[in-house]
Amino acid sequence: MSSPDFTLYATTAIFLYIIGLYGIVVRRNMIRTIIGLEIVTAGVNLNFLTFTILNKDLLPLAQYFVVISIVIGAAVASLALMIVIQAYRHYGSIDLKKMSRLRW
Amino acid sequence: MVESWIILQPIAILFAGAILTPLIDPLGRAIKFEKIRDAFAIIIFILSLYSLLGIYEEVQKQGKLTYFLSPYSPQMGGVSFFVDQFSVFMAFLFCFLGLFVSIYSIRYMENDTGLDKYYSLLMSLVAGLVGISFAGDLFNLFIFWEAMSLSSYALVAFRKYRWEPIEASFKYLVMSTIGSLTALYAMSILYGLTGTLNISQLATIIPTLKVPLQTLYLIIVAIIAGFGVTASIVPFHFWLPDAHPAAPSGISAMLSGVVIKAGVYAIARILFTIFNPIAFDFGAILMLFGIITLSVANVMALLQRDIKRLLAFSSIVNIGYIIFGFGVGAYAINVYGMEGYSIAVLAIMGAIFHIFNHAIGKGLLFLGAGCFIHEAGTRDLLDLEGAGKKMPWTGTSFSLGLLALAGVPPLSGFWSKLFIILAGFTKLDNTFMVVTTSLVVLNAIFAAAYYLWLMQRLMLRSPKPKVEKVHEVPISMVLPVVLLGLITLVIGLWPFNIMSFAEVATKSLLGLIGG
Amino acid sequence: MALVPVVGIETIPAWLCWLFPMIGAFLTPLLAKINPKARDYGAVLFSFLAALMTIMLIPLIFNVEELPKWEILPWIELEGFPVLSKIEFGILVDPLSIIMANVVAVISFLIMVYSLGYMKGESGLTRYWFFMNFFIGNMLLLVMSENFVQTLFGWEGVGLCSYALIGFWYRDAKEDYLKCWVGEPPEAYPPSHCGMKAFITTRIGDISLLIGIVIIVAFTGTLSYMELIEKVEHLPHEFMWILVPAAILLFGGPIGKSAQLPLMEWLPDAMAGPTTVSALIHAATMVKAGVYLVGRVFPIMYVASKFYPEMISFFYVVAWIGVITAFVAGTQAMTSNEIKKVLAYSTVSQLGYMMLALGVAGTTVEFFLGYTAGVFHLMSHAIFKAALFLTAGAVIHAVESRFLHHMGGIKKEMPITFWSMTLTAFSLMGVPVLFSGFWSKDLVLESTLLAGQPIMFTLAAITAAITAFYSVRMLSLTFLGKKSEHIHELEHEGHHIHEAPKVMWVPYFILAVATLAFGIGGITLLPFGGIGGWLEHTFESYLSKLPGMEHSFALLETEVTVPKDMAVLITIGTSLTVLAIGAFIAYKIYVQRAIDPVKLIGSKGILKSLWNFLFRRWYINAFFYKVFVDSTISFSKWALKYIELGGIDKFNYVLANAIKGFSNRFRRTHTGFLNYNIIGMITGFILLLIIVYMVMV
Repeated sequence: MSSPDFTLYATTAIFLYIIGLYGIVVRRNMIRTIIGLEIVTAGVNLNFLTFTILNKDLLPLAQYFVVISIVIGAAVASLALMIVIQAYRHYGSIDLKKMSRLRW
Repeated sequence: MVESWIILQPIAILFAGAILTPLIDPLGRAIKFEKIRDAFAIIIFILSLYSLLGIYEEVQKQGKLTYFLSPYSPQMGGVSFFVDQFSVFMAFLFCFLGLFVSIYSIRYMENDTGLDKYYSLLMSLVAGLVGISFAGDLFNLFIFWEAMSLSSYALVAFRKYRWEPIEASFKYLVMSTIGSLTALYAMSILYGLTGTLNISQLATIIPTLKVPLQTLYLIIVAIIAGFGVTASIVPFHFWLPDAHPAAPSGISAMLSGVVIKAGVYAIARILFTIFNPIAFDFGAILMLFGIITLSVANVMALLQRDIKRLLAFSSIVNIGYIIFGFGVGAYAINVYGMEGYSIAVLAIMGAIFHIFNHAIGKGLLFLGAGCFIHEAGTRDLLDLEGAGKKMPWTGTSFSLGLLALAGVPPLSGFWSKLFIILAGFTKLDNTFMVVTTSLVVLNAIFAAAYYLWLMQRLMLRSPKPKVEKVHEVPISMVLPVVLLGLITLVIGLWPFNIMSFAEVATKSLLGLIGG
Repeated sequence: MALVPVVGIETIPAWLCWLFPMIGAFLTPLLAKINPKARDYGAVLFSFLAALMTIMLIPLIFNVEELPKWEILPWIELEGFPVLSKIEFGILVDPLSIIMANVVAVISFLIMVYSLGYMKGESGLTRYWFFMNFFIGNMLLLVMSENFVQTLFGWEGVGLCSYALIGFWYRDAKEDYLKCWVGEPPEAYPPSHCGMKAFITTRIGDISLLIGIVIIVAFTGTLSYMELIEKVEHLPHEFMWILVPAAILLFGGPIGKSAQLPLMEWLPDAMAGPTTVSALIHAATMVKAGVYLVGRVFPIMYVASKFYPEMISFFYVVAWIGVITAFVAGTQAMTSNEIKKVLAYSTVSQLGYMMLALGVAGTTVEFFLGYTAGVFHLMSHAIFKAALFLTAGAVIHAVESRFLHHMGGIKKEMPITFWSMTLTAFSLMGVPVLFSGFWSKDLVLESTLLAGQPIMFTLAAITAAITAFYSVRMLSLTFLGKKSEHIHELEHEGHHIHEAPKVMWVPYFILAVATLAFGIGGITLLPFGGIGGWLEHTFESYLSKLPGMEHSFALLETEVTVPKDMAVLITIGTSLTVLAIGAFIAYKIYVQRAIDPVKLIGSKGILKSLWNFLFRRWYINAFFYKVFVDSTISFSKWALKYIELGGIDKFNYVLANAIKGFSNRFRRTHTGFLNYNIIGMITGFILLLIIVYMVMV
């Protein structure tokens, strides 16, 4: 029973990772970019936990890692949101295409 | 390996400083001596350097040090610290540059508000950096990594009343987070496969794993890509030319000087220690990336008009050298086995020495550029012509820094580049090495073009109208610049001390020194 | 005798004697900032200290058993270097260096005092004092050096100072034609040109010297003179042959520095510098450096020649070059129109005598005869030539011209100068008994005769006649006869001729007295062999102590062997005769004005062409200019046009523009749009994965 579950979780994790990246790449709205970041974080955290299926001993430490990772993800997101607010003040929009004054 | 709690000292001091600064600031305002927080920052840095000295002596005496900080025993992969000469080397560099930037910031940042947060963030930045170099297992590394990154995102966006730092910071944040997450992903796979994240234990377990090689190589690639974002390896470097100019000059110096080196350190530590170069061939990847980074950044740097952007691209170029140096080391060990160790020591020593030289040199350049910008109010090179003539101290030190990074003897950059190139050319029958090293040499010559152009513009042309009224900057700003210039000169003329330190660090990294 | 370096306090003066002037040189700009007078007197003070230090070394020469004093400090350790294991830095105190150091330091001091008066009112004095002191320091360093590298330091240092000081009036102002240019058209040269000429010519010699040193080091592994004397014995026989070319190449340095043929042309043109410079550098000290070096390596070559007889050719080369140069230069002095140029040619000629003496010394068993003759003549010549130059300087100052035909008839107004110049000129000519020049020159001739070289002896004797001729000519044209038009013009304008100020005449007066003193010492000490005999004894006892020199042997069968007392008589007789002939002819022409030289030579005919030949310096100078200078200049003009501008510059522009274009286009990849950047990242990552999987796994 461990194997199909494991593969399921593992692929879900990879899938989340890819979806998150896709979101970051495709969306021009800054908020959506941040959401994409969060999705990637979720995927990575899930990946930590998937391996505990194979080996129950890993669980305590994995939980520990994941909790800390979630905290860090939250910190990053809050910082990012603050920057988005400031960006709106400067640019009047949250469209990433408009934020390409720094180029070449 | 000896347990010793003094490892925690510098990190603790710096974090304490970071927490206490917002408390010191109202105190300062109450007694009408606002600069007390600057003084406090300087004191904290000096204290941390002092404790680093203590750690250095311990490491010399007793070999590598470790410390465990959790109820979980090492067998379970509990959180641990691990210090060897390479870590001490990097930590010294971080605190040292932090000290200089604090001194510089006394006058440079005096017109900004919210300076308590500035210093607090600066200290937590350096705390995170020191933590990275002292980290004993990967998750510890990650925590400190994130501490450092968050501080740097905030510091880049410090002057939030302008559009440029905001845009740059956002891009930096997104790219860097993606990088960290990729690295974290790799770490999770590692954890899952081996059940531990302790670096030294991973080193022993990996060779015995029975997993397909593809997975391990995936991990290697993900590590390089993930940490490579912060280390600004092409094609993960796009944030750097935007973030470094946008930050206040002291922070630019920190970013270019040490933060990107932390990325290199992480890659080096993880790859060399965990994935023994004999078994895994990542050297060629690093060499290739080094060349690509060098060439792309050189081409981009050539025609920049913004002085800080040019310096930012030049940072990428130097990271290319460093990565190339590490790559040659790994490649030599992989291809030539035991005999390759001597080449590897030379190459990696050159790379570590170049980390030092570039940190000093780029710190010098950014602080100097900050002086020019502070006085002239513009970053455009065409307007800054002749500024070096009006500001002789800054100008001369700036030129020294440029010459050092261009690799002109007898300045420091010459030695480190020489070692890397010599190591690349030792085996002349190996076409890959010869071709790539020749490309490195060509790139070094190419880089000299815009360094000299910059020097000519600043020092030898007659001052443009905007620069006419400038005068030399106040002493607390020019002092770090001149001191760094002197260090460059002295190290260039007498490199043997730092060289031996770097050599010990190399041997420790490669596991050639026990302890 | 153990040849081990020893450290002791008696040698501290040897270290200080060259350190003091060096320090003084670098303090000069600082002193100049305080006060010009402080700078002037400070500079003289440092040369005084140097002289004091060397004088303190004199007692050592009376205890020959204690010499050599040899101290070394390790400097550069070259472990594992193929040939040379270390380069050291030290001093070597032996009779030769003590004598030379004293000559240099004391005469330098006197000349520095003279400069206070001579250079008064000139601009650029800080530069002058700096280079003078730096020169003295370097010269003494050269003298005291104990290995080739140190000698090279001093050698190059004095070359630099010579260049800087010759070109002191580098602005080449045409108004200074009478003061500091040299020569007459078509060979008139401005001071900067002369400085460059001196530097380049001596450089050629330096290169040959360097190659010689390198060869010697490569085969023996050591640079130190003392060690070389020991090592040269043990050189494997198959390598001995390299010593001859090495020695001759080594001699190239002295050929350049001491202005022997074929590199003699720079010295007459070095007269463009101030007279003090001419006196110090080009009469008393720097040009003697070449002779000194030959004397230094003499024991090494001599020992080598025992084990390898072909080494003799080195000594023959030295002797022949010496005597031929003496003759050629002497003839050129006969026709020169400038007072300093006469003295310059005379210097070259006398240097030839010294080389002759050292050369023949190496070919005989009693080497110390020739060796002493060379060193004694060096000492004696330094004294009287410096005095001659200083008096010439006083005259030039007074008459405001360098040309002989602008002088004349000033004996009444400048009596002290007249008598000083006359006495020292007598010493130069070798007037018997009272003058040191007589004793030293005779010693040279005697040693040549005893070495069994009749041809050289004859040439040297003829040169002595020529010397007498031009000395009397110079004296009478300067002081006797009627005053020239030029002087009458000057008096008309209100510049009357008067004696030199005290600060100027005291030094050369002292030197004139010194030359008399050595001469008189020569005769009063005759029971002990005179000064020459005492020197002989010193050198003999010292040099015989050196390893390898203690065996005596007969080197070769000479064509003419002359017993010693016969030789003395023949020498004295010959020198007196030629002196009389030369002086008499000159007396008739110039003092009595019985024969008019212009009419004698005429405008055509053999005598005129001979005069032209001598006046144009045997056309050697013209030859060098045509072959080396003009051809180089035209080649460089051609290279500028076709290679530099046509080829390299064009290539630069093409390359630069290509790269600029490429860079501009490549920059568009950094779009600044975050999403594209991340796409770049991801693409990179995937590409990397693909490469890794393809190649590695």
